[in-house]
Amino acid sequence: MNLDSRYAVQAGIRFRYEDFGGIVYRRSDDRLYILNSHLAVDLLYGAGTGKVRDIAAKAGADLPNQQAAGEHILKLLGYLEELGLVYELEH
Amino acid sequence: MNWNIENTRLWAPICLTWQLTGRCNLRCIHCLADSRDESLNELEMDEIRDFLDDLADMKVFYINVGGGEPLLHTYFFEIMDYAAAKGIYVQFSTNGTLIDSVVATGVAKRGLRVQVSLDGWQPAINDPVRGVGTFHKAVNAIRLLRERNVEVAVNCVVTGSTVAGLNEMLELATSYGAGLRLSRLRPSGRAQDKWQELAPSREQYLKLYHWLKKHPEVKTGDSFFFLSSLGAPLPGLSYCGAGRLTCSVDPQGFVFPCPFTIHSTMVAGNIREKPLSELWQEAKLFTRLRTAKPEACTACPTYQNCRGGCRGASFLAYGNWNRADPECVRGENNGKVSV
Repeated sequence: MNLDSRYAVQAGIRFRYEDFGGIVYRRSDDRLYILNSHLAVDLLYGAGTGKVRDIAAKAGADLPNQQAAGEHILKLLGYLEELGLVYELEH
Repeated sequence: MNWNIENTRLWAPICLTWQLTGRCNLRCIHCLADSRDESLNELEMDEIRDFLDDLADMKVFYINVGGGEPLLHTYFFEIMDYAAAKGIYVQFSTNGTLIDSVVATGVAKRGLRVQVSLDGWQPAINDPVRGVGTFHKAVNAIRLLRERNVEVAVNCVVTGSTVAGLNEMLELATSYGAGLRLSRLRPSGRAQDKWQELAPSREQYLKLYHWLKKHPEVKTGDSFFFLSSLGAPLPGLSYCGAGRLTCSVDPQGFVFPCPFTIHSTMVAGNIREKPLSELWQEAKLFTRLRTAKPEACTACPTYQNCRGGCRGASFLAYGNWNRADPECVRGENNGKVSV
């Protein structure tokens, strides 16, 4: 994924915020994922609402360095993609 | 990920068990809910909708609907539809006796997951526990559901009899394309009187532990994590989730830490008086459970593997959920505790 990508949450995924970050549940195999980052959950909620760049601007608005924030968010999205929780939409 | 459950409070349960009705057409000798013909003052449809709205707002991921026999509820499918519309996944447990082709098609159409109870791989093992003729009716239900591609798990309560035929149980389930789920017998409901007689011995639990290690495809609902004190932990949770990850609601709206602790002293509240979202946060019982550490276990070298075992079993056996699991396989009381 890059900053111009769009992405979506895989089917059968539910998630919510918790104090420590959030919890994700995958129906297909009943797996729970613990996310130690509120930003990662922000990204899940932001899925399907626009380009990574726009979602990152919104979700990472509080981060001091915007360039570093973009890289950090792409890394988080890569992690979520690796877990099978999100996927990149075709352009 | 580093996540220490003992120091964490979730804002909502991950899942919960809901006894939709207390009515049942069978009289299984080990019924945890002590279900009967009649069940009074059950939640009305408007209360059920409010309850499901609350679960959806809390983002509870899924509910396990049981009973009694949930298919006896007049509005069973309407309730399933309402939950689905709210984004809540549902699975339900049934004895299978009411499943004909019409019901099976209704279940398939809704994509519901089903657990069909079967406590033996042949009538001679199952029927003395669940009733004459129930083996064939349950197997017929499994067949009807699987013919419609419904995701089915055969749910078997592990007793001294069933532990002898674990391979046969798995073969039976697999032959219908169903999964196998094993549940632990706890001294709850009618099982209080039968626990001593039916519960596996320590040697049988040892056999079960090793068998489960070889069969990770068999689900257990994390029933047997107390066996993880034997060595390498079994897959899944290694602690009791009662009041921490899950809770249970009975047909009258009373909230308990889990479906096995249906007892007047284990009531966290009633959803008719306060929504579950508030009870989950405020109930003193849940707060105490979240910080509980069985005193007898904290010095045990395998404490991290099981964290004292099932709190409900301790409560049911001793009237004290802060004691060690009564079937602790490292202890001396296995199968000998009076309830």
